[in-house]
Amino acid sequence: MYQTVKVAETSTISPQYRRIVIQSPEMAQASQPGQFMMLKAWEGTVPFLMRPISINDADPAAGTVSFLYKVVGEGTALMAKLQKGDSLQALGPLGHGFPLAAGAKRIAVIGRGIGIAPLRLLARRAVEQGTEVYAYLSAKEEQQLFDRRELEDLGVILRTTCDAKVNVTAFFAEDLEKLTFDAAYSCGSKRLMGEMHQLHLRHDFESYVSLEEHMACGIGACKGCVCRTRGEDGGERYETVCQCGPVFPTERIV
Amino acid sequence: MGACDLRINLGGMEMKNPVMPASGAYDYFEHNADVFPMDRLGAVMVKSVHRHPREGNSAPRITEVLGGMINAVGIPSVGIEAFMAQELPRFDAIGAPVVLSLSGHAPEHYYESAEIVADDQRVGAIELNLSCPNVGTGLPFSAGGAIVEEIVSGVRRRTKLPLYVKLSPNVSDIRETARAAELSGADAVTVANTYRAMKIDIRTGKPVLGNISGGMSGPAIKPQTMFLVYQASGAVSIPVIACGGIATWQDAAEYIMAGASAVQVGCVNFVNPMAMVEVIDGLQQFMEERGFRSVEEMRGIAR
Repeated sequence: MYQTVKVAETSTISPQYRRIVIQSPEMAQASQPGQFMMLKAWEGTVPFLMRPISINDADPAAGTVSFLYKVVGEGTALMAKLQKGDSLQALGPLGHGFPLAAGAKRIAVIGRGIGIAPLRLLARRAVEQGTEVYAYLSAKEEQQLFDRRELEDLGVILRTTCDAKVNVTAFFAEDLEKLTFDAAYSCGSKRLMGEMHQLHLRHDFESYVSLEEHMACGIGACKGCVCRTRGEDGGERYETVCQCGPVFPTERIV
Repeated sequence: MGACDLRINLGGMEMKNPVMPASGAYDYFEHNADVFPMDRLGAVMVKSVHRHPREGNSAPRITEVLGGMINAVGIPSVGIEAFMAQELPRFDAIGAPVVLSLSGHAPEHYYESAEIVADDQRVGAIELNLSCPNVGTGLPFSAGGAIVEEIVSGVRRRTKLPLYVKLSPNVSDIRETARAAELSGADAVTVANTYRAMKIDIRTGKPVLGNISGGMSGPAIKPQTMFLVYQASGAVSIPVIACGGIATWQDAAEYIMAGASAVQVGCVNFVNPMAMVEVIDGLQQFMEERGFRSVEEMRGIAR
């Protein structure tokens, strides 16, 4: 859906990292973990394209959707200027998110830095259906272990590191020796995705990654945001990150 | 103030208004359906279908620039046979005439595709994309009148459907290629496609796009294409379809005053999913306020 929405709340984690909450009961109701929205926080056509931002959390009761984002360029800098009550354009929720099996007993979410953003709604929905959630988070510094407290409050079991010499997936590997996981999900780092995929090959869990790509339309029309994937027949092809993804099983990524 | 009838006949295809998407800018329907009813459009346009299946170019395929974007998507396509069998039915179900854009990198590709489409009545018109900057050698077919003549007359012999020819803006004289299309049997010309462009990432010192160069579109190209439409519509008697940087109804009105009979809205659909409906409604209101009873009455008044 495409709406002009109001900002319900903004917060600053650091000058570079921000949170914005929009008011839209319909979008909050429709949002699924791992989906994203195209947001445009300015009038006119400079900058030109809407910005794809992953959904951080959705609260159908309050009718709100929240986003956690990094200020990287002109578009996100303008978004950072928005204040409560301001308007922006929003298209979404879009894309295929994280598949979560209804009967899953235990899942792992693995993220680094801003890649942690889409994991919170996934953890929330998992906890709501009685699935146990382990989160393995890493960052350059403590402040960028986003949603750490929120995940803890949900009852997620957390293992974190800000030590560049420590691979957070090593913690997951340790836990895999003792526990069975139905699925693992990652976002934000190609290295994490690769390590998670290696563990997936050794252990029997489903493994999904959310990809990032520059997008123009967000809905599959422009064919601009492709990634290279492998089909069931073993053949390689391009798939749109926006429409076929942004979440893919890691075994499909070339 | 009187009623304005936006209906037009575009080279043999009836449209309820003169607004359609540009090829490649609007062709996925599950999400579109809840933005506005697609049958409000004068016509729907498919992304160029190639003779054979094609993957398209390597990533990155798009990049933002001041006033628009550069794309080097490279026409990923299922190929014409699969398109006719699998995808055309969902376009046909929309309730607006379907314009089928065809691409190729050799004249035979267009001929073979035209033979496959033949006179299929689910297709309202064929648009020959003779101007993609991102396929083959990178030299658009419509760089010269001779090759336009060859391909258009070859396709003309193979189909009775209304035939539009999308011309490249990257030419020294648009009148030459427009006339070549008209003389070869085209029912309309689309002026124009994207402008060849590139962007370099100064951090890496390398071109941003996987294809090195691409085609620029967006509001920034409108004044350039405006002049091409003005020139082309003075040179041919078939309708000219304007395509270049239309973001608002004011842009569409400007093109019609320059001589266009219809307009295509391209990458602005990505920025404002309501753009085409806003253009239709805005044109209707403006033309009624100004006392134009039809598109034809306003067309070319700047000439």
